[in-house]
Amino acid sequence: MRTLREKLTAGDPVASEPPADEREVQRIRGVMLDEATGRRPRHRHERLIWMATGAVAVAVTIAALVRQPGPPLDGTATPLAVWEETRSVATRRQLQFVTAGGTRIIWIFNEGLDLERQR
Amino acid sequence: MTGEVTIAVPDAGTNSVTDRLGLLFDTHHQRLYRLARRMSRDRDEARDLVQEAFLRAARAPASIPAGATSEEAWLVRVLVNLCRDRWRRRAARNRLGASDEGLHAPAAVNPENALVARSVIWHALRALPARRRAVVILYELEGATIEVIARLLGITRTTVRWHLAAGRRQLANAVRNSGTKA
Repeated sequence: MRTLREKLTAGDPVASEPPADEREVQRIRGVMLDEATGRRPRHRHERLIWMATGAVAVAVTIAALVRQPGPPLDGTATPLAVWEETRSVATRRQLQFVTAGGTRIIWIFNEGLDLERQR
Repeated sequence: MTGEVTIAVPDAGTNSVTDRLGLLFDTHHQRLYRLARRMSRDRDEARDLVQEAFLRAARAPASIPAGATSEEAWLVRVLVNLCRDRWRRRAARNRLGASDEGLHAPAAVNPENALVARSVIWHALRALPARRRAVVILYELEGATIEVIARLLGITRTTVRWHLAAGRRQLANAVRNSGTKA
């Protein structure tokens, strides 16, 4: 009766096969060293690019928030405190107002609407 | 005559890392390949496993502990984890109905046939979970002690003994079942 060890040893692929091909070994070694040397500079650049992109995104967001008109903060606002009528050649006519609570409401008129004629 | 001499100074940090990785590879690749070959179904899979293990080393050289025995243990654990990932993927595929010869021991037509018996036991071995397979291989084929296996795999000696007993039992069952099927 053969033991488990003997049975395993009898079918051991390491004993029956030639060792790993030297060229293949060197290829794997090269791949590993390429990974170690080639990747790190790219990682560094990637980090810089991401940091720059993040900084630009934050700056744009802050600029947009600063320029956006909000409701007055002195307590004088009424529900229809701020009216804006925007008339622009390039954009469609719209009416905007901001409630005291800060909700911005925008009405966009049909292009065919002519308030002067309907008056 | 005055002139400017430029001396290219290599990045000392990069050099030390590549030197260390080169030494790590030269020291351990044969031993790791032997283990990978015994853990895997064929030479190609064994090469893939070895390459992936060393790529992990290259991606995180700082995580490799210093010292030959600690390095070896780190690499063995990475290899066993890679085997476990593959084993799980195969098991999942198998559950979904895809055939996978690696998980099923072939029925031995003639139990007296040594070739078939070897095939049965090695197929059964490859069907074991990766860590248990590693324990059986390290103990039965590489002659490592329970203590060494525990250190290599980062588990307790009790766990090693438990895996060894369970692995032996599963292999014995596989051989017995193949004999009854014949």
